[in-house]
Amino acid sequence: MLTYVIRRILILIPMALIISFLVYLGLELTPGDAVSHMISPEMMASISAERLDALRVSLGLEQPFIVRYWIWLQGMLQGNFGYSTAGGVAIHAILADRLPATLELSAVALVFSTIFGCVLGVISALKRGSTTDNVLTVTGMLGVSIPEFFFGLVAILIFALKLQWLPVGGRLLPGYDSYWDHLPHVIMPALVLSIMMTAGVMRYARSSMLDALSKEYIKTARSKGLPEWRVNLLHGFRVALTPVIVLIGFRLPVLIGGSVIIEQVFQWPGVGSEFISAVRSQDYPLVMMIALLSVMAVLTASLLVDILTALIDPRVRLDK
Amino acid sequence: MPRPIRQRLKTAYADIQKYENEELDTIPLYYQQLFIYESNRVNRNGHGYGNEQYNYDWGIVDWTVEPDADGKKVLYTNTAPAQFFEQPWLNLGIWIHNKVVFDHLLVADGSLTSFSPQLAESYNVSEDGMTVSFTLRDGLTWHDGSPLTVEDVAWSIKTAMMIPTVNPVVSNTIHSIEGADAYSDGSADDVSGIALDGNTITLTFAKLDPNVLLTFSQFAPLPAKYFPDIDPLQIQQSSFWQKPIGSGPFMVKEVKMNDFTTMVPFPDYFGGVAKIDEIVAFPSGDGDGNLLKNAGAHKADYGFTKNTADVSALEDMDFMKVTPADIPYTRMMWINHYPMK
Repeated sequence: MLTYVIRRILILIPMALIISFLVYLGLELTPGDAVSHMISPEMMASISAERLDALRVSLGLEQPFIVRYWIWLQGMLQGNFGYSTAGGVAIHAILADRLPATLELSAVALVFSTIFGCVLGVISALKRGSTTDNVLTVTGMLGVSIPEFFFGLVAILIFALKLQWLPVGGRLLPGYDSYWDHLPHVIMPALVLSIMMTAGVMRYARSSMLDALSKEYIKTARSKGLPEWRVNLLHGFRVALTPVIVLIGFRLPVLIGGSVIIEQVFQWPGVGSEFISAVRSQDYPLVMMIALLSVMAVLTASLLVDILTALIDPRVRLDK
Repeated sequence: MPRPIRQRLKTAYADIQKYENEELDTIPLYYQQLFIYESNRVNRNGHGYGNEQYNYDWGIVDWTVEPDADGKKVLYTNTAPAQFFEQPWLNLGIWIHNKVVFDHLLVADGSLTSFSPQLAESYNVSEDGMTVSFTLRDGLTWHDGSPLTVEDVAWSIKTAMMIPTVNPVVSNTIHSIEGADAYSDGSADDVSGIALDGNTITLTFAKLDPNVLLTFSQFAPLPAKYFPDIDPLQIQQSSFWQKPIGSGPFMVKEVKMNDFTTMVPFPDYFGGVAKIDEIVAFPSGDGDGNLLKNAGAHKADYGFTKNTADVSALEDMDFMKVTPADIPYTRMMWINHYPMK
């Protein structure tokens, strides 16, 4: 196991490097640069090329692509995340501002979806073929297939604009002193974000529960006269949980990367909306840092899932 | 059509295309109107409307807003910063902080054609238009209480000479000042066309600029002491722009980047203390994707838009009023403008 983990961690490094290079290359291939974002075309038309070049030099944009990438990489290796090209703000400060918002939203959504998904999936499996099962299956399909921005807009229309139960968006307002003040802000985006996740977990939990319930050891448990709830929950659900944990593990990266769409719809000031704005303004250092964080989160989650699977299921041998 | 005529037309068309490709780098596409929206909570108390993308005499000190349940008069708007406050010399009146946090030497009317003093107590233009002087009001201060001086004004003009991120009209004016080019290319240590005398700054121009008064109704002086030894090209990267200090009727109170910014009346404002208790601004550009949601939730009391779809929806809200500002913009197409990579 230890050898496997070390090997996987060593593989993470070149993978992260390759991905970061591809992201940098992708940005380079897009038209314009940070300066062409700062200055509108109307103004750009009346500014001399020399003055624009001077600005590019001051921002370090005059260097060839590969040199800029190397400078960025060197900084990263020394723990220097750099500064946003657009506003000169330290990237660690931007992340320190945005990450808590994204973590808060995604963690609440992850908890909601895990609890609801597992409970509904188990109910659906235990009532297989019934009206409840059919309704939950159809609901799950709808949850997976309808885009989350649609749910978001409908939720805003109903709960914020018509009923006025919840705020329309944002995370904070002036005068908020405690977490309870801003709790109403997180409810709607977190629930909407969790709908698609819940539907996925529910369908996964249902099928793995059905699979577990068809096993011989369930029959043995029943034949021993154990109460039905014990058979279902302690023997069936425990085993069915393994693939569900794998699914949830693969969703962990959303904790870091945020939900770009939901953050936009609900004006949530997280990493996702920051990423969109950084890409628009071709803010290379900021885009690179967020992309790298997301990549590392995905790779780490994949490693964690492998380790968890091996720990839960003794049949899995990671060293081979 | 006879073949020779067809051939002549073809040749002429090719000539036009050649001319466009070689000589024209902009082609007008269409005109765009600007609309100002206000909720029925806001009362301008008789002050007029104008071009909201620039600064004009809109009398915000006299505006009132219906108090909320706590008796507080809060105006909700947009165009707050997401990551940093943009310096006010580029997009002159787009951001709410440019409108209320920074004042100017002069103030324009809504049509931007007539001017009166603002930070300046008086101004004088020589008969030939080549010399302009501004005398500042006595006792002007920045929001931090420190004095606003002609040295700050001179420093701001000289700094703006060095950077490209300045509105072209403003840039053209300040580069018309005598000695500006020598200063900006580094061949002179100072600008020969800027002279200070007590509370008066005099600008001598090397070439006539018809927009001098317009420029100084839009160009906001900044407090020089917050930018010691800064490379002018890096001015936007200064930490000053996380919570700027200005001279206008409102000062920045609280900033939660990408969440909201609050601005409260500046108690020592020379024009009197604003009647609105607080401005709460949510982040957006001048095109606000969340405008309708916020307006529907009574979180947008004032702003402007050029999006006609938003205008229709705003007009359908019985608590919103939309006023078209008769200042059509021309959208252009730029040809071969950006260098190929």
